[in-house]
Amino acid sequence: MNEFPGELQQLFKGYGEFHSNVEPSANFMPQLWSKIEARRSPFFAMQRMARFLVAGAMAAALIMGAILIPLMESKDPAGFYADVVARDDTKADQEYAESLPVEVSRR
Amino acid sequence: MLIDPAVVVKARAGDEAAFNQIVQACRKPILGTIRRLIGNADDVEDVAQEVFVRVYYSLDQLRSEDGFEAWLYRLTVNSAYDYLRRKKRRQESRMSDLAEEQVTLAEAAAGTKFSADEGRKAKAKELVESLLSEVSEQDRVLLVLKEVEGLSLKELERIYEVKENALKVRLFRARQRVLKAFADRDKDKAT
Repeated sequence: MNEFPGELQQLFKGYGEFHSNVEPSANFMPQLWSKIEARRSPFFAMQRMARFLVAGAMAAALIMGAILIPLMESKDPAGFYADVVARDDTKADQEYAESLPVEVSRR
Repeated sequence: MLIDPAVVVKARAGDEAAFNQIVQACRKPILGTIRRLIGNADDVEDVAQEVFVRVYYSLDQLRSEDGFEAWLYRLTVNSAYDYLRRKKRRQESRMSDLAEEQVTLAEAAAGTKFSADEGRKAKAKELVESLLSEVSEQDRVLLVLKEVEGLSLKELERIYEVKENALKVRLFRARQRVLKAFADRDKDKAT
């Protein structure tokens, strides 16, 4: 349906004619300028600054993530404590096994 | 509403006289558009002032002076839409409609003589407003821009920043909903 049927079309056209001449009041401009000035007040400035800070913090988090995640992924896994301990397991078993005969021999 | 691009450039640079010139030139058509978009005479000036406050603080975001009118329309539509959403949230719509009906009745009771043409327009206004009150704010704004303001699909495309086909779909659905409301009204009358 690309358009309304005739009756509705006429109705909508009539609606446009009804509000074709809306006059601004004498206070329109003074009120407008007082609203503009109100937005310059410290409260709005703080609101704008808070919005700016939140946006800045999000951007910083994204940038840090973009830099740090690839760095962490490319790092040698040997650097992680859990990996070092896991690798060291065999050595610990050996030390235990070697120390056992010494204990027995003292008795 | 023809604005000299040079005036827009001056206003963007912070020239308050140029900004005033823009407001003086645009406020009447903007007030008319808002009146038709929101359907409530009491808040028209408030919404129009909000539009011009937004113009003042975001003129630096305007990409090109030539696109000023479409941009101004977009700000108008957004402000009207915000107003309609706030109004819905506060559930004031019934109250304001009632207030307006009361004014019409009071005028009639006071013996205001309507010509046949004025009577026809008043009837059309009442019916269209009641039909528009039965669809969503998005549908209302889109239909008023297309059917009442008479904007072309190209102009709507610039305002909504969506493709023509998407607009056609939205318009189709909005018209269907209004037609349904219109048909329901006829059924109610018949019963």
